[in-house]
Amino acid sequence: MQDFIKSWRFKVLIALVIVLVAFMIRGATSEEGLAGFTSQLMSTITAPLQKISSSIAHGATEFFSQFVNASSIKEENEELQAQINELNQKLVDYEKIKAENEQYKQFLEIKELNPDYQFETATVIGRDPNERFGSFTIDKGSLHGVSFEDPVITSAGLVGRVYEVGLTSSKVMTILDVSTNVGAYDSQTQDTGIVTGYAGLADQGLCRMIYIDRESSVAVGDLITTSGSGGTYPQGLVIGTVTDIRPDDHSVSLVATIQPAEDILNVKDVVVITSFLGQKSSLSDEEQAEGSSDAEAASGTTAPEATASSETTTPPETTTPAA
Amino acid sequence: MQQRKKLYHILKWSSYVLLIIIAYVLQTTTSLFVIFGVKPLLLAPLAVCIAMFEGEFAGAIFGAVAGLFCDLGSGQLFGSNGLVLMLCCFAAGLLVHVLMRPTLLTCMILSGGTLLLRGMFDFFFNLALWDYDGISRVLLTNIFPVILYSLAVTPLFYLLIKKLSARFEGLLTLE
Repeated sequence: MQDFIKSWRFKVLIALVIVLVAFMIRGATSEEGLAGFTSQLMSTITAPLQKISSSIAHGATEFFSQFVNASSIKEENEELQAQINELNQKLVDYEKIKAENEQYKQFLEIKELNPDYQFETATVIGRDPNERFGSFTIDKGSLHGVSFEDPVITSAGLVGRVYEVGLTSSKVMTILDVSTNVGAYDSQTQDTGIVTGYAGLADQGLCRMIYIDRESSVAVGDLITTSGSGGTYPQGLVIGTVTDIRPDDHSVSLVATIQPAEDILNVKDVVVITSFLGQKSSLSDEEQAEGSSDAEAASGTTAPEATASSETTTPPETTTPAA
Repeated sequence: MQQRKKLYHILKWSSYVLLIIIAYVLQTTTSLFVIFGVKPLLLAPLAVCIAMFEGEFAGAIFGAVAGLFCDLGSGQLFGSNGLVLMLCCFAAGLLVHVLMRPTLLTCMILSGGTLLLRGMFDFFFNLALWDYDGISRVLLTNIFPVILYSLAVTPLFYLLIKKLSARFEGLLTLE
């Protein structure tokens, strides 16, 4: 042991420990979502491989599912089976193209309703087993115009926001994450609250809306949309519907369980809103300072995103087709 | 002769690096190996197996690299898994060197310990310390199933690394 401590190997290991601790300190203190150099280098190397692997896995899944479906028909009639397989393949292609077409049409509708939105379509290329709140990696990064805190949506509704940007890939934190806070309101009753993840519901793909006024009339089935406060998310994006409402155990407010409009744990294609009117990052420093002082004046807090009371009382137009 | 020996060394370490990258890609590929919503952690058992057959120093280096890939995939504090896996793999390599034999049972014990330690580290620093509500459910529905699933695939890595290590060892001895 004495020999090992004196050896160059031990010094290398100590240096490695120092480097790792330095990474951690940098990660913990960095305010930007842009990944560090090492992280970016590693993701630049692995992102293309992930993309290939992801497409192979999708292809294989489709192939095997077709095979399983076909086997039961094969027993009935082999001749018909061949025809059905051929037609099925065509149908799968047709449905795929049709779905894509519908998706693009829906994106076009959002674009028409919100001409200020700038989009970047992206594919989910990675999901790590360590991620219990559905966070994932997409195949677009800073080279494609994606930046920190850009909202991520689908045609159904809000999915989350970008929290780490690499050159060719980015990481998305979903609304199921316990550290996510989205200013939201009930489009029927105009009651406001904060949509956030809850560890006990995340595995079922559900989240919660907290800080709802005890006197509010929020009901099961109500549609919840983003309020736009804070400038991280645009106003009027569909988040989901209320499936349960009850008094909060720890405060005088109500808490609602929200079924997100999108199946967040299984989403495959998303759209990143790289720019929209009122976006926090697109405002100048002066505008931001004015905005935050206005919000503080209105709500008496310094964090507009975490304050539902600074919402407008007029319900904004709901922009996604699911609404 | 010496040059060929060097070439075999380069080949051996390159193979391990390649295996780490492949394991990372497979680990993070969507919808691959998913059973009841659970995916296995491939990098941790792989790093432990390398540590078992290549010693504590190489094990620590590969543990750190595997951990950094884990951080990259999961978006956790960059370096945290690197540090944990580095220390675990160093310990695994050392234990096999001085106390245990590199058998499948040893591999399962060391991999299980590493996965459990990593899982608890993750749970404590990312959830428990922040006092989020309902986190015990995460332990039961995510962290423990991932550990069990990862343990189930560990023998594959054990056999692969054992074979690879023996093969290169044979080549290097011949030289």
